[in-house]
Amino acid sequence: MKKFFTSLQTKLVISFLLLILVITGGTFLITNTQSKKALLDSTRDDMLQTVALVSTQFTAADLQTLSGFKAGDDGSPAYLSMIRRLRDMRSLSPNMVNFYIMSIAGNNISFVVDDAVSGPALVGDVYTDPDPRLFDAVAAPSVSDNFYTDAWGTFISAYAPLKDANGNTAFVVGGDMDASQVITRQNFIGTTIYYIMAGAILFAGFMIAIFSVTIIKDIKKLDKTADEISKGNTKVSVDVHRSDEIGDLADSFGRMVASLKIMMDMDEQPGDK
Amino acid sequence: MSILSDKVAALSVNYFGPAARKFLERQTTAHMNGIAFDDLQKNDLAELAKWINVSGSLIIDKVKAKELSDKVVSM
Repeated sequence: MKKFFTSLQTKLVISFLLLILVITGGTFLITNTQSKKALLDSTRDDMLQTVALVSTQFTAADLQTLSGFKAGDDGSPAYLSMIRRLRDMRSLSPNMVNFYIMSIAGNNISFVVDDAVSGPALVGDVYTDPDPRLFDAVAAPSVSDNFYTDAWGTFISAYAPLKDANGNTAFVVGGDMDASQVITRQNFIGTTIYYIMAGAILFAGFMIAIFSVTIIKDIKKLDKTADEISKGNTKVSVDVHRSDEIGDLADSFGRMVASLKIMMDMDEQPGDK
Repeated sequence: MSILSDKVAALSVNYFGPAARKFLERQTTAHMNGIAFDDLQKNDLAELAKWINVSGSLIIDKVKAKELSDKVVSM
């Protein structure tokens, strides 16, 4: 009896399974990575458009109002009115968790308005660990390259300049999306791909198992017949019925066995000739 | 040696291999009143087909023996 690890069936099954694992693993890795990247890019584009659109809603008078805000004005009617406007706009973009307006002077960034419901930045609060893309928004709308973490959490953000009548950037409006929302979507894609791949592996494994078992079963039949003939048992016959290469082999083998048996029988009964 | 016996032998080689003719000779001499296989006539085919099926089933697969028998009887 052949040892398990040297048997043709084991080699065949292991080879096919390794092949499937390599192919599906590579496909999963590439598909998962690319689809997550595509989702992130799509989210970034959507955020950029949203914040750019928000930036168009501010008039010269609004900028004048914003310029007048100073520390301690957080409860003033003008400030609360600005907060309401930002929240109204945010209600049209349910995926955005926060809109805010900042002033940028060189490398110094300070909050002017923040519509966050919980723990908002106050007028004049300095933003100490900004997303690097925030500075790009002085020139043109920009969006985070990836998730970043600051004092309020992990976000992906988009920014757009608020320009005065002379075309100079007076403020920058920003919008945040909670990273968990994007990650949840990415995980959904990853999980879906994972289940599809797992199903494909199971199905392929099942088909390979059937394929290899049927081939090996017939090869074992041929092997057993040859073994019996070699030991002088002429009562056996080749019982393999296939229309593929194994079937052709069985037919050839059957003819050889039949001839051998005829010759052996004649040797046993020489008078019959 | 007749054309008919050659045709039967050629057909049988596909089932019994190179010893087919010896198998057929044995069937005719042992079961068909001792006639030589080379003297096979058309009216002997039915009897030969029967013995191909009977004796052949002891050597090759029954299905194949029946298949050859049917081919011989229809020659």
